[in-house]
Amino acid sequence: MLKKILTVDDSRTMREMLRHTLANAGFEVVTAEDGADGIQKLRESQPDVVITDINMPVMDGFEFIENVRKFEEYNRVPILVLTTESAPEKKQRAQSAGATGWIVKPFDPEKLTRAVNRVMP
Amino acid sequence: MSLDDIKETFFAECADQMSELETGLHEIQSDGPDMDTVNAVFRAVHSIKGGAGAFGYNALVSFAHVFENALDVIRNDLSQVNEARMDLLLRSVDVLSDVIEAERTGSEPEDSSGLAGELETAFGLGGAHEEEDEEEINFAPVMIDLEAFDAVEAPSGRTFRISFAPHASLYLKGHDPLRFFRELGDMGTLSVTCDLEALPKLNDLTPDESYLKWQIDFETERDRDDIEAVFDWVDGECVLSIEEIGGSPPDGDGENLDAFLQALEESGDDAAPADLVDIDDFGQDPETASADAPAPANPVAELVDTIETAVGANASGNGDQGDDGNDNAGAGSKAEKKEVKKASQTIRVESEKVDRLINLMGELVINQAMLAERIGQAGFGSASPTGLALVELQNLTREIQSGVMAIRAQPVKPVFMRMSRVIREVCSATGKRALLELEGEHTEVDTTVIEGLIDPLTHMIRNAVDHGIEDPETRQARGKPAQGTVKLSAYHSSGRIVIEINDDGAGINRERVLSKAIEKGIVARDAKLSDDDIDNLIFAPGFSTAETITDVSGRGVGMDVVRQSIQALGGRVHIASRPGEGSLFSMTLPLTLAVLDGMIVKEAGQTLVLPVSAVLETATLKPGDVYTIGKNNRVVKMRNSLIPIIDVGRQLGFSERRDDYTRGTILVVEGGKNGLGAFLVDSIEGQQQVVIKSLESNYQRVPSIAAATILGNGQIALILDCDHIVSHQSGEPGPEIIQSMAG
Amino acid sequence: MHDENEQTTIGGEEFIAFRVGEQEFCVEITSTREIRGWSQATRLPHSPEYIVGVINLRGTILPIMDLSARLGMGSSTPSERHVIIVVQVHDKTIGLLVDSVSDILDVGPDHLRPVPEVNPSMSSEMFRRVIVIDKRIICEICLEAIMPELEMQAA
Repeated sequence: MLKKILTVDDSRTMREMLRHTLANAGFEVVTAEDGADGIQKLRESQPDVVITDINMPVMDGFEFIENVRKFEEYNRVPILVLTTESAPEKKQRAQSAGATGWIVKPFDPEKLTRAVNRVMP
Repeated sequence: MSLDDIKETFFAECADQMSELETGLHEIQSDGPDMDTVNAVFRAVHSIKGGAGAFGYNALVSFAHVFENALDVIRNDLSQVNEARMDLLLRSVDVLSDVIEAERTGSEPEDSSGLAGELETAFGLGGAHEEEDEEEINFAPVMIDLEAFDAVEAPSGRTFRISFAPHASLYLKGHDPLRFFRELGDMGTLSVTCDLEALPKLNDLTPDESYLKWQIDFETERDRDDIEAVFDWVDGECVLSIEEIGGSPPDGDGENLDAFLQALEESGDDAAPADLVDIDDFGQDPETASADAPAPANPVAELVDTIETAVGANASGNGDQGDDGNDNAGAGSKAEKKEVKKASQTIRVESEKVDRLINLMGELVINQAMLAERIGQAGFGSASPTGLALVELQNLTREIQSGVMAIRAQPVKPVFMRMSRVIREVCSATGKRALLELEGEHTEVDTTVIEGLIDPLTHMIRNAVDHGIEDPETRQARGKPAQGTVKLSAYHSSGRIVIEINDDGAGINRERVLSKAIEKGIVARDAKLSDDDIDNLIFAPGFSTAETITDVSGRGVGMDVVRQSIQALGGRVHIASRPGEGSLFSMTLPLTLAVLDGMIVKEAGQTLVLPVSAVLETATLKPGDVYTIGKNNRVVKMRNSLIPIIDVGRQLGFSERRDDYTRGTILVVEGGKNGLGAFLVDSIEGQQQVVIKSLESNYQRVPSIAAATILGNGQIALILDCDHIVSHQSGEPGPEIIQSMAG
Repeated sequence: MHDENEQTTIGGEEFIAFRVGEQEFCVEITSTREIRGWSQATRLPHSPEYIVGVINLRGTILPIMDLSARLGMGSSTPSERHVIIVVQVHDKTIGLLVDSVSDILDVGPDHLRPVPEVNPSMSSEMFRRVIVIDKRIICEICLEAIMPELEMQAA
């Protein structure tokens, strides 16, 4: 069975880009448009790894991660933060919210796949 | 989906983001900054930058980056907003839009570094930016000696001893120690021992505490940086030490190299004991690792398993350990419900699908009309069960139809927002100052109408600033504020949308307009024109010519093109000017280009349709009602005024003038600014909704005809252009000008 | 579309031939959408005499051109016997009212001639080429040239 990845990003472009890259790397991809949608999709699809953007409307990435970590069924899922914010304090915040790791945009397919594989159960 | 498709998505999304951005900035400008708007604006630029980065659109990335940083200043402190900065941000929107367009078309983007520099200066960005970069560099661990050594000798088989003691928090972030071992396993060979010393008796064990430590002896060709990189995501989540054993290089002393290599080899031997755990086995079977540990006798494997499960079960909140599982689950789902409710309830549908729905809707309306006709022919009265069922069907159809139309209805806001850029451009080209004020921008109208609005509106706005608003000095001399105002408003009025452009400029110079119109042969030299007629001369074909075209409002089209394009939408345009005070352009347009409430009439053997909205009343004439004025001008006295009688059949060239005005029916029709007309027809057949079909798609515009429709019997009926007919009534030859203004 | 047509002149081409009055004309089969019988048209005001009116072609408004009138050969009186050839010209669809369809021709390049400058009453720019087969002479209608818009602009 293919490993499943949930990507949460408000940008259609990024969602398609992620789907394209990850599907090519042999993963099944589920996409969500913001944190709230992400929570919904997380429950529906039970992904192996989650990749999320930080800057999103409705529920931003930090809040999303914090929420995921509150669910006992899902709180062990690795979450990678995908963001253009390279500032150290952003990473810090993501980490304290419960992020497993981060990838700084713009990503290339190799970098992304490598990061996913690092945390893939 | 190919990369090209994704690129297309990107540019489509850019367009959305740009409109979001422009709307947001405009709101900030008019209502002051609030956090939500600023965040939305920031996100728009951020998103554009993100996508641009993915495709390597470097010019776009670098400008968006500066733009984003500027917005970040405001995001961090709303009081940082001021007029000059807003102006700069709005200009940046224009430049960003140009850069996007350049990237999209693959052309050379115009140099945006000038504006980027201005942004950096105005928002104090330069320094902060560099600082950040420096920080990044400092962040990487440096081990210069070692690296230099690596570069020279590239030794193989170095051994590190890694001690790894996760904090409980590490497990709460989706990490699993196994993955670090797996990753290290990809870089070399490792031997892992689990240190269970800290593990309490089962009774004393707190399930979400972390008791295990690991010691890893790791033989690799990589260097320390690579090992550290494996643990970079758990910085602060564990106690980690990496120590090179068995041959760390003597302190920077090249002469001892041989000895070092010797030591290295020896240590390599040492580090390859028989009990070394292969990482692959380890990954699949964590118990093996634990069992390998110099362990107490109890069944450690099981214990480790228990701990993992326990951590999993209770790691439910950051620190609320006291809660039991049920409570946590409850809180979790509550939080989730709240968030889901917040999510926006919109869906994105391809416009093709909506168009198809609308076309089908049209077919349904036609079919229903046919059905109604058949039912009538079959002799079922409207009170019969069949008749009542038909009425119900008609009501339902009408509701479905308005629902379908509502899908395509959009606020005029995006078009209005676009105009703010137009104003800025004209201002910067002419040195004038003008502010765009919006009103009723949430008024909705069918998207097809919106699309058709862009060009005429753009031109009229340009015109309003270029020809209307005076330069700041003149304005001040006239006691007006130096900055002019162009007010763009929209509202619904009797089933149509009215859009007005009101400027506080100089108004129309009637003398000049009239003399120019005479000079161009548009009006006769001796024509007697009202002020209103003169003002509206600017819409006459051939009035704007190269001579009057400035850089700004020129571009080769005159106001007659504006009028034509509005008429093509089934609309009308009119100008009212107050010399010295400004001008008011108003246009009225149908809310949709798809359906119309029609009044069906028979005249000269033809079935014709009038928009119900244009018909004020109907009447039959008695002999005394008709008066003759001058030669052949018949008028009827109704509504306290004399309304010219328009013989529709003759006007359309379908029949000769009739003599008996009492045979037939009069419809009093409002012909826009042209006043009223009493349309004389043979009979009124009824009212029904008709689907508007363009004559232009296969033919061309026909004077006096707005469009066509298909009736229940499958025949085509023409929809009359009431404005045109009223303004072209042939009885009374109006001023020459009116004739030449006819499309 | 125009370009495609020009390219195909290299090989054999198919035409639909029809009668208007005593003469035979044709159009390229690739421009033809369908052939249908006459149905009552709705008159259009302020239109040239060769525009008979519009009919309902499955929900679209199809203008009908009296080809005889258009070619300056006098107006027809449409009847059940007449035929409408529905043709596509660029993005517009228009119906040509003709007396009858006479033939479908497969014509090699040998039989295609340029239009001679002969008949002053019939504007020769309305024809593209002339097909000569045995004793038949069939003028190919230049659809672009007979479209009403173009004439209106020229006028």
